[in-house]
This record gives sequence, structure tokens and C-alpha cells, in this order.
Amino acid sequence: MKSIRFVHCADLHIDSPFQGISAIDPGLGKMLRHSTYQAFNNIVDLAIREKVDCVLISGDIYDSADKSLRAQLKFRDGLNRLSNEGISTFIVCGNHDPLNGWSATLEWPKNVFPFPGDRVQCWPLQRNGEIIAQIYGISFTKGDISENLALKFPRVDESVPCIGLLHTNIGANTGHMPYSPCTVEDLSTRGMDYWALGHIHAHTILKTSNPAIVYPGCSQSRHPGESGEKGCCLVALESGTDPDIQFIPTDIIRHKSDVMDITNYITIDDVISSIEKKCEEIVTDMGERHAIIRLSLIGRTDLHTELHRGNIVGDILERVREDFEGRTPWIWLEKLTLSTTGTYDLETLRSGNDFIADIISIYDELEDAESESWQEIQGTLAILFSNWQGKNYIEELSKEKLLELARQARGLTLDKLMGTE
Amino acid sequence: MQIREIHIDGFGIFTDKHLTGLTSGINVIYGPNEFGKTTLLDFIRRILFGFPRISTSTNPYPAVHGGAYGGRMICELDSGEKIIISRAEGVRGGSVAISTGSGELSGKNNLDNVVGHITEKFYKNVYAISLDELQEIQSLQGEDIRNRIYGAGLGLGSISLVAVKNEFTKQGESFYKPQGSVQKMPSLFKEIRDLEREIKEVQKDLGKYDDLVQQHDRLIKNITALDCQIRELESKQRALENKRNLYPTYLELSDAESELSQLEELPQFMEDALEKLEERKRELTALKGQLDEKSDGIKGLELKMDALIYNEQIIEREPDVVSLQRLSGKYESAIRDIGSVKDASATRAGQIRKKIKEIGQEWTDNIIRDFTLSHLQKDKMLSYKESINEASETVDGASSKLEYHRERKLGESPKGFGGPDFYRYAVYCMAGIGLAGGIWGWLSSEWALAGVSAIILIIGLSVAIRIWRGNRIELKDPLEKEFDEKLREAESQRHRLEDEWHDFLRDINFNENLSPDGALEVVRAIENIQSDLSSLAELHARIKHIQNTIDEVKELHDRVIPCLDRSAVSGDIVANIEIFMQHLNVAKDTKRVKEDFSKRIDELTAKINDLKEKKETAEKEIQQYVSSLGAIDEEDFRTKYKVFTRRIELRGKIDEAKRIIQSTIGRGEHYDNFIESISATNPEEIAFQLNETDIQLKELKSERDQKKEDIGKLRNEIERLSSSEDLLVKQGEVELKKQQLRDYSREWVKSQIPLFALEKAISKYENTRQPGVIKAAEDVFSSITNNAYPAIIKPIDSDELRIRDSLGFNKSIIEMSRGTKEQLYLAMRLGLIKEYETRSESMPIIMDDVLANFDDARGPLAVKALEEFSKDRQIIVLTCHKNTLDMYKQLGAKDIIPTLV
Repeated sequence: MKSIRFVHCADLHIDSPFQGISAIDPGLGKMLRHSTYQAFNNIVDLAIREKVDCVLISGDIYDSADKSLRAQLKFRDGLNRLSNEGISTFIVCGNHDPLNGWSATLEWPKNVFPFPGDRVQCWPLQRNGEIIAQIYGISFTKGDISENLALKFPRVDESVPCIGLLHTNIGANTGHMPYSPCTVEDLSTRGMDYWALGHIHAHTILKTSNPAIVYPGCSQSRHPGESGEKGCCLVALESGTDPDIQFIPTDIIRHKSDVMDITNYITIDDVISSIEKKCEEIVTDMGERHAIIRLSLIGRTDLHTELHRGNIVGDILERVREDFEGRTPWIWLEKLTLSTTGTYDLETLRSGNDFIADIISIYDELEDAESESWQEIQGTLAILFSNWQGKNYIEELSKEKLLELARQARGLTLDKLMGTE
Repeated sequence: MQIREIHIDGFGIFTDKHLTGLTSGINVIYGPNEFGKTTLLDFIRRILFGFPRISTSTNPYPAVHGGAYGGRMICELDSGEKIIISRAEGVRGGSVAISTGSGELSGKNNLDNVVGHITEKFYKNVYAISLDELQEIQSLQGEDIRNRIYGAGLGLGSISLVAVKNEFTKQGESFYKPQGSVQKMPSLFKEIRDLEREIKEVQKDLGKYDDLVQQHDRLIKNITALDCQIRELESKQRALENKRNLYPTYLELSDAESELSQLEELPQFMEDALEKLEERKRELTALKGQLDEKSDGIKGLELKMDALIYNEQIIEREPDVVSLQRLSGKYESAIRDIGSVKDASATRAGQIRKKIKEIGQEWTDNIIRDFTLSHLQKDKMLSYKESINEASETVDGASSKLEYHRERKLGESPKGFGGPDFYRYAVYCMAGIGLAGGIWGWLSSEWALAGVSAIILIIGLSVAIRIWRGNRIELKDPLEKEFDEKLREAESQRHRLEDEWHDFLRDINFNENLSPDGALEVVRAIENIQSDLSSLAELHARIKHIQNTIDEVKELHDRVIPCLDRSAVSGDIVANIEIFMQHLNVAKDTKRVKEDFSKRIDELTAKINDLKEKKETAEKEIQQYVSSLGAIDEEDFRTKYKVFTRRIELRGKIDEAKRIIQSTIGRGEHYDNFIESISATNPEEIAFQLNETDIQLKELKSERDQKKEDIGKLRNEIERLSSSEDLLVKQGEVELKKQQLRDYSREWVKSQIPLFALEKAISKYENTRQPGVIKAAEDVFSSITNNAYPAIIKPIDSDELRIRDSLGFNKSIIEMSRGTKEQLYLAMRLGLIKEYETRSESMPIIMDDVLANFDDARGPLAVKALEEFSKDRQIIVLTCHKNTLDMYKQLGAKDIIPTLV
């Protein structure tokens, strides 16, 4: 078996907007906007620097729903750079960028091989006129493909490495749309040496060999939920050995959510300095990447009431942001959630014989989704979540979320009934 | 808080009225109807809560008797602090000011802080009541009052449940309110919708981009096609322009070829044929010229020779002339020197004669010339001189000694100084001057003077000593004798020597009387004369030599002078010598020139002969050359050569024309086709076609330019679309706002859940726990009714109150008498006040004849209950009933009436 080296990436989502962020500095916002493209550029730079044989892109290059012309043109610019260096690029389209979502007039540069959607195509990869690998792939023709496309791949038996490119959700991974679902078994029986998959945004190696089944993950996270490093895979396929799969981070901005216990804190200034220290700790292993951080403050603390007063949280956020202003790379404390409790003992209050005990019993009822109160509160909230014209933008409350909010509400209620306010 | 003084500036019927002396406990203000009790009640309410808006349902109490609208109240807080609350006319209830011990405050918020955030409604319905409010059951139905009824047992301390609920409600409504449009969520929702509309517009760019790119590609194709047409037309235009430009050249070519075909071909002629002939002709002409030149030269030389004449005689006398020239200087010197030399000779001869005469008559020039004295004789003469002189000196010495001896002997006699006296005085004078000068010099530090004086002093002293000593020498005898003998001996010796001397003189023929010095003087004179004689002889020899030179020159001069014309010469020999020389040189030069001419004539003659031969040869060669090219003679040659050169010229024209055409058109087939094409057309036709082509080209180019302009615009638009960040920026904004909206919805939920829970808990509390207000009211009601009704009931499922009599029967409001109902309501109010003041600033209770409907039994009981209640509180009772006043007064109430009126 010949040996080849390639870069495998997927889910670039070039120029797709960031989600889940409620406040951002304009300067960092601009970096956010450009980060997906920069991450793709980092992939191109890596391919050129490593002088790989080819680059494999397993779908979701951009979001066709965005109808972003710029994304396609930027993508083409990157392909041009690869083509100019003599590096071939093999592309399958995914659910976000199906074939029917691309600009009618966009022309692929030389050395770019897009796969069709009606059948599995095989493109030979050549080096100095000699075929060194066979690349198989099939694209999404439209966004919602529910067919198992893996089964369309032929069973191959080649003397050169065979690689399959597919945008798919193996085993119907929760948290991702179940497009083109398939199983590891479906892929393992095709005779491929390496399955270059896309769709799942977290880097995952489902099988390390015979065949290797790899999700490189997205190249740049676009949501606070997508925390951790993002990038692509630099792969060496060589005869008789397991593939050497190296994960290379390409992201520009990294998300991180964390909690901080402030049980023993005495002043708000202590909280602020600890938050800043915590942020610095979080970014220590991020290199030169910008960081967007969400922190949740927890613990039973005397500061609980003070933290809930007025816009203290907003003030802390502002202060931390101001303190980090001008820092390179950026640290942006995007959100600070208060999950602290007062120093009161819930159990003692619950066992009382007064109004406080009554109201705790109401909140206790809300812990039970089958209770009358649960049903009633659903009815109360329906005024917004079911009847308001903007309901589609606010996302239905999950049971867990409602429970979490009810607990926070209980804290707020007790704060007000027992606090100094 | 309790009121201490009320000052009304202007309010209803009151103008500048003051009510003072209000104290803790019950204060009764008694007055008849129209007295202004209700006005006063409303004044207190409005000072605390503001003047209401003017409407038909409220009495505005204008200051009918003048004065500034409003007034103030001096109050004492529960803390003991005194404050002044004043209110004047103004917007939003009038401007209120609170004067405290620590300063001035203003505004409703500050007043609320002072009075414990009591609501106007609560105060009006509970604290400041008239019979109207007491009778209104609805006045106890407000949520605030209702919450107060139950709040006492809530266990919330000073927390107001209503305030908490209000806060959550306010918080929730800041995010969302059904039908609302200005809250955060609907505002944000609107922004998102607007942005989404904008995004949709921007997203159309993708389709627009594709359209533009397609248009662009179409235009590129169109332009390519147009370029092709334009190139073809330009090619045609260039061909036509070439024809137009090359037509004159083509005509020249055509004419030249036609003429050339008619001319004789002369293959033996070369281009340089005429040049060669002309070269030969030029050589022949040159030879002829040289011949003529040389003949003319001979003639000229011969004429010049004839004109040349010279003096041959003088050339023959050239040695004499040369000798004369050589001797000329010498001759001049001889003529100039001869006189002076002769004079010198004569002078010298005279001097010699005079010198001979001086040394003696016996001497002649011949004797002197022959006289010689040997060196021996001369030395002997000198020896005699010395010996005689020594002998004389010896004689003189002896004589002197003797003389000196004798003088000395004479001097030693005591005669003292033998010299004249003035010598002595001079010596003394000298010594004195020397001494004085020395002292003077010493004292004045004039050391030169002192030195000179010292020398003079020393000299003077020496001379004096010497004089003194000389006088004391004495001559003595034996020595004198000796001296005398020696004198005589010396004289004898001298005489002998003098004799020998005389003998010597005779021997040498000198006068023997001569002294040695005289003899030596004669010898020196003779030697001098001998020298003069020798010099004279030399002068004679020189005179002779000069004369010889003069003679020689004259002889030569005389020999030469016949050679010249007499007029040419003068009597001056020296001038003549110069003339001889000039004539000789001229004759010699002329002779030489003539000889040169002759020589040159011979040379020229030889050359002429040579040239004649060459000329004949050249003439033969020309004829041979002309014949060799087929010409009969030179004229024929020239005619043929003209034909030959014309052919060359025509060929040149043809070649040049071809070159010009080919440089534009090309060679070979292109050229042939062009010639063929141009020969078939004419300039007019070319011009016509060219014009047609120009018009077509302009049209096509204009069309192409327009399309290029369109392409430029398209490219700009495509560039704008492809580089626009609008979409991403707006999408980012939408995502931010969506997240904010989600966050807001969660915040809203966090306000709605507590409201829900509070409502549920209140309900539960009402159902399960007895409120403290009811309990407090029960006590008062029981007292007023003298325990006829010991209990007040608040049913679980209703807000309506019920009373229970001592027998255990319940009565609803409707079943109660008017008085009992009012007593119940009063009791409820007092219960509320009691509950309220457990956690708030107390407020003055004002009652406007509320006991009017109480019977004689319950009236006093009510007053007593109020008296009990007024401990630590302030109750201001307004009444128009004297008996009421009396009842209160009996219980210690304060009568305030006189101070107001």
C-alpha cells in the first residue's frame, strides 16, 4: 500500500454567525465574524506547510441557509491557494451546504474535486502521474437526507489506500440532526482504509484502524456550547500500519463554561478578583486564542443577597470586561450566572409554620412535573411561550430548564421575603 | 409620626390659619357645621399625599380668601425627630418639602421614606376616615389593605408581600407584558424582525450575484465577438490604408518598370566606368598642367636671372675686405690710443731725469741702467747701519747714565722740590680734587665720579711722593767715574765703525759722506729709477706696435677702394670697411641666387621632358579604354553611359518602391496579391471603401465601449456583493439579539414563577393560618360591643367578614345594624393600624365624627377603646357634637378648638 498524507476537515461553517452569545465587544465581534474563515485559512496554511497530498472536506463548508455569497467566495479563495500549491481538494456537501445551495456561477478552481449527489464517485489521487489513492464520496443533494448514504459506497479492494468521504450522523448522535444516518458496521464493511466524516462538531475517532472512522469536528466553535479546542486532522496513511491521525487545532476563538464556588467570599471585590484569576487560569492552555468565557457562581454565601441586588452582576461583568480590555489575546467574560444561595437553611425554613414555609411548599410542588402547580405554571407561562408573536425566537422551555429556573426563582423569592430589600 | 402644628397658608375657607398644641393621645377639634373640619381633614391628607388633579369628583379647595395655596405641618417622628412637611401648588400633586434637623429634602420619594411608604389609599381608608369611609365596605377591599389584614401573621417581619409581588410584577413587565409593545422583549423582537427583513434583502445578493455573473459572462462573449469583427474591419481598414498610402509608390514602380524595358542593355558597362574615364582624363589634364607649369617656371627664372647683376671685383678682394673687417676694431683702438701713449712716454722720461738729478750729478740714466748692488753688499750696508746705531745708543746710554747720576747727586740736596712751585701746587690741587670728588661720589652714590676721583687722588699722591723722594737723592763720586769711562769707550767704538762705513762707501762708488740710512735711501732711489726706465722702454715698444697696425689697415684699404664707385665710399677708413663688407655680402648673395636659378632651370627642363612622355602614354590609354567598352569615341562613351546610369536609377526606383510596399505588405504572395489588387483599383475607389470601413468600425467600437462600461459596472457590483460583510454583521446582530431575547424570556420566567408561587402561598396561608389583623380587630370590636360579639370571622373562600356573637352565631355584614357595621369597620381599621405599625412609622389617626351613629352605650365604650388605643399614638377627632367633645374630655382628651378659629 502506498503512503499518503492528507488534511481532513469538516463543518467549516464559513461566515456563519455565532450563536448563543448575548453580548460582545464590537472588536471581538468582528473577530468572531471572521474566525470561521480564519480557521479555514489555518487549515489551508497547514496543508501547504505540511506539503500534504490532498485536503478532504467532509461537508458543511458554509450554511447555505445564510445565502452568504462571501462565504463561498472566501472558500474558493482558499481552494485557489491549495490549487496553486498543487494540492488537490476533495469535497462532499453536507446538510448545511447541499449541492443545491451553491452559487450557480461559482467555478471550482483546478485540482478541486467535488463529489456528485446522485451516486458515489471515485476520484483517483495522483502524485507525479501515479495513482496513490482512490477517494470515494457522495454529496448531499438537499439539506434533509434521511437515506443511509454509506450503503451506496461500493465494497473496494484496491492496492492503493481508499478513503471514503461522507457527511453523516453515525448512530444518530444526539445533539445533531440525524441526517444520512448510518452505523459503524455500515462503514466497516466497505473496504475503505479511512472514513473522512463530517457533521459532528466534536472531534471523534470512532475507530482507529481497519478502517479508521474519524470526525475531525468543526474547525471553529460558534456557540458557547461548543467548548474546547476545534480543528482538523493531519493524517498519514501507510502500508501495514495504523493510520497516524494527528489533531491540529485551527480555531481562533475558544469557548469555555465553568463554575466558581464563592462560599467563603466576603466582598464583591474578592469575587471580581477571583473571577479574573479564574479566567486567566482557563486561558492558560489556549495559546494565542481569544477566549469567550461563561462563569456560573455557586455556593452558600453571605454575598448572595448583595449579588442579587440591582444590577450587581452587570456591574461585575462590566468591571471584569474593563479589566481585561486591551488584553491580547482577548478574554471576554460573556455571561455570569448566579447560582448561589443565601446562608439560610432551606430545610429549617421548610419545616416552619409561616408564610415562608408555605411558599417553599409551592416551589417543592414545582419539582414534580406531574403536580398541579407544574401544570398551572405551564399555563401561566403559555402567555409568552405559546401566545406571543415572538414565541418562535425564544425556544420552548425544556423540563430541565424550567426546573432550573424554578429553583433560581425560589432563591429570588426567598431573598426578597427574607432579605433586607 | 404625630402632628404637632398645622399651618394653612391658603386652602378652602382657611387663609393664614394655625393649629398648634397638638399632642400625643386624643386631640379633639370641636366646631359647628361649616366650621371646616372636613377641609382640615383633607388638608392633612393632601399635605401628606399631594393635591389631586382637578376633576368633578374631588373638591380642589381653592384658597377662597386668598393666600398662597398650601401650607405645612410640624410633625414628630416615632424616633423623636421633628420635621416640617410643607406643600405648595405645583405639578404632580404640588411641590413638597421636608425640613429635618439635618437639612432640606424635597420630592415624594423623600417624603415616602419619612412616612414609611404608606399609600394614600391605605391612609385615607384606614387612618384618616370620615363617616363616609367608615360606612363604605369597599374601602376595606383594596389589595394592600387585604394583605395588611393577613400580613401580620405572615412571619415576614418588615417585608411587605405587596412590595415583593410588585417588584416581581414590575420586573416581569419590564421584559414582557401581554399586548405591550415598549417592553424589552417586544422591542427586541421588533429589532430582530427588522434585521431579518434587512438580511433577506442582503440575501437576495446571492441570486443577484449569479445574475450579474451571468450577465458579465454574456457581455464578455459579446465583446469577444465584437473584438473579432473589429479586428477584421481593422484589418480591412489597414489594407485599404496601405493601398491609399502606397498608391503613389505603386505608380512610380509601374512607370519605372515600363521605362526600363525600353532602354538598351549595356552589360559591359560598370557603374564606375565613367568615373574611371574621368579619372584618366583628370590624370591627363594634370600632366598637361604640370607641363605648362614647368615651362612657365623656366621662363620666369630666366627673366629673374637676367635681372641679377653683382660686383665681381669686390668678390675678388674678399680676403682684403675680410682682413680689414678683422682689423677694423684694432685700428680704431690704435687711432684712439696712440696720442695718449706718446704723452705717457714723454712724461715718464721727464720724471726719470728729475729722479737722477736728485740722487746726484754723478748719476746718468745709463749708469743707473747698468748699476747693480749685490745682496751681500746690501746686507753689509744694513749691518753697518745697525752696528753704528748700536754704538751710538751705547754712547747715548753711558752719557745718559752719567748725566742722570750727576743730576741725582744734585737732587739729593735739601732744597726740596726742585721743580717749579706750580707743579707742586698742581699736584696738591689734583690730590684735593680727587679727595673731594671721592667723598662727593661716595655720599651721592655716584660711583663713576668716585672712581675717577680716586684715580686722580692716587695719581696726585704718587707724583707728590715721587717729587718728595727725588729731592732727597744725592750724587756721589766712584759711580760717576765708572760711568764716564764707559762713555768714552762707547764713543771710541762708534768712531771705528764710522770709519769702516766710509771705506765701504768708497768701494761701491758711493759718496762716502753718506750715512747708512742715506746710502740705503740712494739704493732705493736707483732701484726706483731703474723701474721707470724699464716702463719707458715698454711705452716706446707699444707706440711702435700701434703704428704698425695703422699702417697695415691703410694699405689694405687702399687696395680695396678702387673696387667701388667713389660715391659709395667716404674718407673714413672704418666706415669704408663697413661699406666694403656690405658690398661684398650683396655681391656674394646675388651671385649665389643667380647660380641657384640656373641650377633650377636645368632641373625643370629635365622634368618637362619626362612629363611629355607621360602625357602621350595617358592619351593612348584613354582611347584604349573607350574602345574597350564598345564606344567609338569619348562622346559615344558618354551617351552610352547615360543610358547605363538611367537603367540603374530605374532599377533603384523599382527596388525602393518594392521595398516600401513590401515593408508594409510583406513579401512573396502578399506582395504579388497586393500588386495585383492595387493594379485593379484606383484612389477614388480606395477612398470610398475606406470611408465605409471607418464608419462601420466606429459603430462597432462604440458598441464595444458601451459593453465594456457595462462590464465595469457589473464588476464593481459583483465586487461589492462579494466583499460585503453586511450579511454576516446583520446575522451576528440577529443572533446576539435572539440570545438576548432568550435570556429575557428566562428572566421573565424567573419573575412569573415567584408571582405564581406567592399567589398560591397567600391563598394557602389565608386558608390555613388566622391573620393577626382579625385578632387585633376582635379585641377592639369586643370592647366596643361590650363582648356582645367576641369574634370576627374571615371565611376561607371569601373576602367578606362575619361576626360571631357571644352565643356562637355568625352574622354577615348585611345582617348587621348600621351602628354595629360601623363599629366592626372601626375595629377592623384599628386592627389594621395596629398591624401596620408593627413594622412601619406610625401615622396620625384622624376621625371626622365617626361615632355619630354609635348609641349611648357603645359610644362611650368606643371612646374608651379609642382612648386605650391612643396610648403611644395620636388621634385627632373632629366633631360638631358637644357631647362627643365632652365624652372625650372626660377621658382626658385635649380640646384644640380655640387655637384654630
